[in-house]
Parts: sequence; structure tokens; C-alpha cells
Amino acid sequence: MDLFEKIERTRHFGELFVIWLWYHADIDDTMFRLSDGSLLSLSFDNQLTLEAKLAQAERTRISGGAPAASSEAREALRQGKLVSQAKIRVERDEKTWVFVLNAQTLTLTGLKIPAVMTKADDEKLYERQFLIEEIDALVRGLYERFLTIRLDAKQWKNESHALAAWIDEEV
Amino acid sequence: MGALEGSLSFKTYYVEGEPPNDFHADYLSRIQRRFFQPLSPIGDEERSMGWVPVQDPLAVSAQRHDIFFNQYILLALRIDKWSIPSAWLKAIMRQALAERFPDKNIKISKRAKEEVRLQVVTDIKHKILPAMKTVDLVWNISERRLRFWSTSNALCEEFAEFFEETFGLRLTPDSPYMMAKNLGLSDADLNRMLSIEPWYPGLTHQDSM
Repeated sequence: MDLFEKIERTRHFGELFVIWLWYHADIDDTMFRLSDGSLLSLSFDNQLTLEAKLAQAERTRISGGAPAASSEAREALRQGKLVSQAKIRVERDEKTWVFVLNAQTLTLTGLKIPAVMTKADDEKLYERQFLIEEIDALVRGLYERFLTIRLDAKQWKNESHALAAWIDEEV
Repeated sequence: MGALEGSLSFKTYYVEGEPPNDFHADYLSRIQRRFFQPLSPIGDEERSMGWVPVQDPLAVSAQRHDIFFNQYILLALRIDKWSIPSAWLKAIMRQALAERFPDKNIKISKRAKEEVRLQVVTDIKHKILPAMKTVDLVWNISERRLRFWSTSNALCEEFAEFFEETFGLRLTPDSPYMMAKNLGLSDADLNRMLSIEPWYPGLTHQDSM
């Protein structure tokens, strides 16, 4: 299998990762612990797009308010739809990032970073890059946690049962 | 724009391959070889693409201090294109043909029309500037990660090809698989990823793996 095939075959990991984030943001009151023991707050913001994959391509786009807490969004999950894009807010050490996470590629678009304080071009470059790389590392850290669970049969069995029960819950 | 200010929508790539020991000199000469060349009003080229420093897209060459910032390489891809409004071209063509061939009874050959069109286009190009677009990139050499400030698939593909031509290094866009690989997952875990079927919410009795 060449690299292209490997990339295409595993895109569903991104889609499940975003649902996993949604589930834990809900049941753990937005708090996530990374492998280094540090904590961050992650919540779903005001845009959520879900798409059907199995049957006819159907899209549910909910914006405004708190779409992740809506019965419409949970019902879309029950219908077998997957999250294709979610606007997410991450807070850590008094810094806030807001971005749209694209599930199939795990890219961050429309990223808003904490305010850059420096004025000189090279300092601005370092500060902006540091803030971009910091959020990139946080998302990768969360993905690593998710993979640890997803790739372990025993852990995933428990997690998937809990996830399925959460999806079935009425909001 | 994007590396120093403005919006933060970019595509992230993994850069495959090791930078050479003396990468500053090597990469600078590679950038110079594919530095942006301005379009000329005379000539057939409708589009030009090349590297420029982010801070000065009009520069005619790059210096080391414009490009290298500790572990980062900061560059912009500049694309210029002649963009002549078709309504203007039509109107000026009509005028030029009437001047060149005042006798309306004579049928103007295709070749003559084309000659006039070329002259008109060249005259217009002398009076206007081409449309210019620059897209920033930041390449973290130590992490082998690169961000290109565009999310247009067509432009990103063109950029990846141009980057490979310039540096001889292949770019692979971010994805769940590449992120897992970059996190240092073992070959066994990467293979397990390939064997796992998608888990769909709302469907019960799915295999645990």
C-alpha cells in the first residue's frame, strides 16, 4: 500500500477523533488532561457541520449558540452522520485559541491566536509561530491520547460502549 | 499574507528528507534560481511565479537575513498575472480595427485581426500593472513542518510541485495518518490503523477493533 492509500484509508480516524473530543468536552466539563499531566479546556463553539457517509450524502450545518449541546446535533449523530468540521475553543494558561478543525485532514482553519504583543517583524514572526505551534502541539497531544485508546482493543471496547450510550442519550 | 500578520488559514505539510549540512547556502542558491521574474509587456508569458521575501515582494533578489530566522525559513510565493478586462479589450480592438481598416467593405482576415489584437494587448500591458498575489510560507526546519497560507486546493498543489522543483524535497499534507506517524507511532500501531474499519455512530454491534 503506498502512502496515498494509507492516508486515504485512515481519514476516518480524524472523523472519530472529533466526535471523541465532543463526547469528552461534554462529559468531562471541557477539561482534558494531556500525557504530560497538564490540563486544558476545550469546548465546541458556534459552528458544527455533520455529514452522512453511509447513505446519501446529507449535511447538517448548525451555527449560532451552542450547536454541540443541541438535540439536532445529537440526533444527526444517531442518524449515523459524522462531524466534518467543528469550531473549537481551547484555553490554557490564560491563552485562548479559536479555530475550525477539519475532521478528514485535521487541519486548523480560521485560527485566532492570543494577541501578539511584539511589533518588530522578526519578533512578531517568532511570537506568532510559537502560538501557532503551541495550539498545533495541543491538538496533536489530544490526538495522541485518542489514538492510545482507539488502538487498544480493551480500552476501545469500554470507550466505544460509553460513546454509543452518550450518543443515545436525549439532550 | 499571514506569517507576520493577517488571517491564519493555512495548510500544513510534512517535509520529507534531511536538509543538507550547509543548508543556508544551498537553499539560498536554490531560492535565487527560482526567484520571481517580473512579467514583461512584450512577450507571450501571461503568468509568472517565483519566490520573494515576505517583507519585500518587490525585491529583485533575496539575502540570507531576509529568509532565515533561527529554525524558520520565511518565504512568499509571488504569482503575477496579466488581467485585462475583456470589455476594455473588446472596445479598444473595435477602435483599432476601425482605424487600421477604415473601408468597411473590405473583409479583414483572421491573421490581420490577430496582429491588431497582439498590438492592442501589448499597448494595454504597457499601461497597466499585472495582478499580483503573494502567499506566505513558514518552514520549521528542525520540525520538518511547513505552513502555506492558502487553503485553495489548486494553488496548494501548484505550490507543492514548485517547492519540490526548488528544493528537491517532497511535501505531504497533514492528515490523520501523517499526524500519527509524526507523533512517533510504532510500525505495528500504524499498521493497526490501516486494518481498523471506520466506526460509525448510531450503529450498534460494531466490532471493537
